[in-house]
Amino acid sequence: MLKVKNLSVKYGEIQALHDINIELKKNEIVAIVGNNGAGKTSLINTITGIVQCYDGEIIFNNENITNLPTDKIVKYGIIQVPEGREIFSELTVEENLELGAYQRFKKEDKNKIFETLDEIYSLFPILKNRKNQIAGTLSGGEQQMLAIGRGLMAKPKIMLLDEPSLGLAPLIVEEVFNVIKRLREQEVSILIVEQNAYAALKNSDRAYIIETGKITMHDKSENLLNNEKIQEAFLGKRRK
Amino acid sequence: MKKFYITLLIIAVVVLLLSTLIKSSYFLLILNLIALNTIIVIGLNLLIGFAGQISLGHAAFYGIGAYSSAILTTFYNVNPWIAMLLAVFITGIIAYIIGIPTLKLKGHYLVMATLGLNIIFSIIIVQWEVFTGGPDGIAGIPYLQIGSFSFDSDKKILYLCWFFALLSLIVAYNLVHSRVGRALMALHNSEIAASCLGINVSKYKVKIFVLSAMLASIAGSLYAHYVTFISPETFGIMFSIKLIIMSIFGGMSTIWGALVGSGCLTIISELLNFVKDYSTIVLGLILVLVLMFIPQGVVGYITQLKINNEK
Ligand SMILES: Nc1ncnc2c1ncn2[C@@H]1O[C@H](COP(=O)(O)OP(=O)(O)OP(=O)(O)O)[C@@H](O)[C@H]1O
Ligand SMILES: [Mg+2]
Repeated sequence: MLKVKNLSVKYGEIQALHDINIELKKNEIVAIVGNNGAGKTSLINTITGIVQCYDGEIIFNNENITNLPTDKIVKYGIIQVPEGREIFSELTVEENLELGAYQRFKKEDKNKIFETLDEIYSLFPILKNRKNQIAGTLSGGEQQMLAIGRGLMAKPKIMLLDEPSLGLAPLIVEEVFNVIKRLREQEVSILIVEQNAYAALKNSDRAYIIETGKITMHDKSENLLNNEKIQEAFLGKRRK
Repeated sequence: MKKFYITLLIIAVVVLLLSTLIKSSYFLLILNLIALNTIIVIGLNLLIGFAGQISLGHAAFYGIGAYSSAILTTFYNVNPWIAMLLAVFITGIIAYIIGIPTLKLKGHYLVMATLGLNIIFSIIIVQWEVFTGGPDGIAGIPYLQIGSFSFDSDKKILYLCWFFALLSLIVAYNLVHSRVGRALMALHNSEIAASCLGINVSKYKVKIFVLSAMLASIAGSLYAHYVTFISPETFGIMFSIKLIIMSIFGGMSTIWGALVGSGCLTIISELLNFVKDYSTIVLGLILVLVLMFIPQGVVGYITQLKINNEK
């Protein structure tokens, strides 16, 4: 469904990504695990056209979408939930969600959008209870739910999540990932980039390891979770 | 919604009352300048407060409006209304040309570009004497007319200036509360999230920038046809800075802030004429104090107080 081929990204002289190859299939949850500064955000931003790539291609359903502007990428149904959630903190929860359907308002019937809104509310009952609350006053976990819900309002085919666990307590992280797993039911394919290797590997089908801008490993997530090298480097596990 | 229009009506009544009470043409001038500044500052509020971009060149857009009107009417005998329309068009194109490349880039490149524009504009109107009259400016600009009714006195002009001022407030209010306004609010809250949702961020920024420049141009044309004489010093960088202070003072993310900011600062500016050389210091001090104590501006601060009280 989504293929990234030989992708390189440069910021001026600094090369952030080297020859990246990844693939996301329909209804899959794929994780990309890497430490600070490994290039996770750069990768996601390049897919959504926020950052221009230097070399390589991004293919969506056999169409070349490399370097298209972000609003065009969104039209294809590729939605990013940005790092740090970036909710619209001065607007209410419901206004945030409605803005998620921004492009749909142009061409679709309003009732359809409200249908999606109801779906989101049943997926996230907390958001329904707080729909008139100013989004900036939500807790971190709730804000993450809102950011995901807002993304879903666009009816995406692919959702790209940038560090959904950022700054959340372990229990809340689990909750967020449980929701993410349920998105499969909505026919959304998911690419997650994470520093939290454990949560990401435990909740995905396949995973890539990214180190200083290069993919260094790729396997089924459960295999990586049991891989000694990974356990040492990312999971902080003592050797048996 | 209703509240907005009621407030607008009250302001219109107050202005009308003032216009009948005030006899001095100097005070009428100040009242008119407040209206003209409101027209510019409401555009700046949309630009700074909603689109998150700063312009240091709005005095130049004001000037482009004024000079286009003046040149077209005095040299080419163009009808003042048509001249005003052409001036808006010219200003819009110039703003578009500046906005397209600078607003595509992240960061505050627009400040630099507009600062440059204002400096270049000031030099051109002083140097290009054949057209602009150089340092002496242009005199004998005709009044605006509707049929045989000529806007040829402070009081008659007052209706016109305030008509445009209130109209621009209405335009801004409706813009902020439309789909575009939602997009602007989103952009203002988080540019990255706005673009992730498919909002074409740079397109909106350019549109708002062009709109704000056009509003300044309208104010400039009105000014030219009002005082009938214009000269370069009115349109210098210092006035651009004053406009920014007005926007910040009133509250740049508010509609009413434009009126409050231009009202207070136009009056303060006039009072400061008595201390001449120190006026810049006082204005700077006001800016610093506002930024330190009520960064959201007077109207923003009052709105927040209200919200807190309701809680
Ligand atoms: N706009 C930019 N200009 C210059 N360098 C950048 C820019 N954005 C990122 N970089 C550099 O690119 C590299 C990868 O950054 P990126 O943000 O993609 O990492 P990340 O894996 O998302 O890190 P984190 O876990 O901290 O979010 C870093 O060395 C960073 O300094
Ligand atoms: Mg990152």
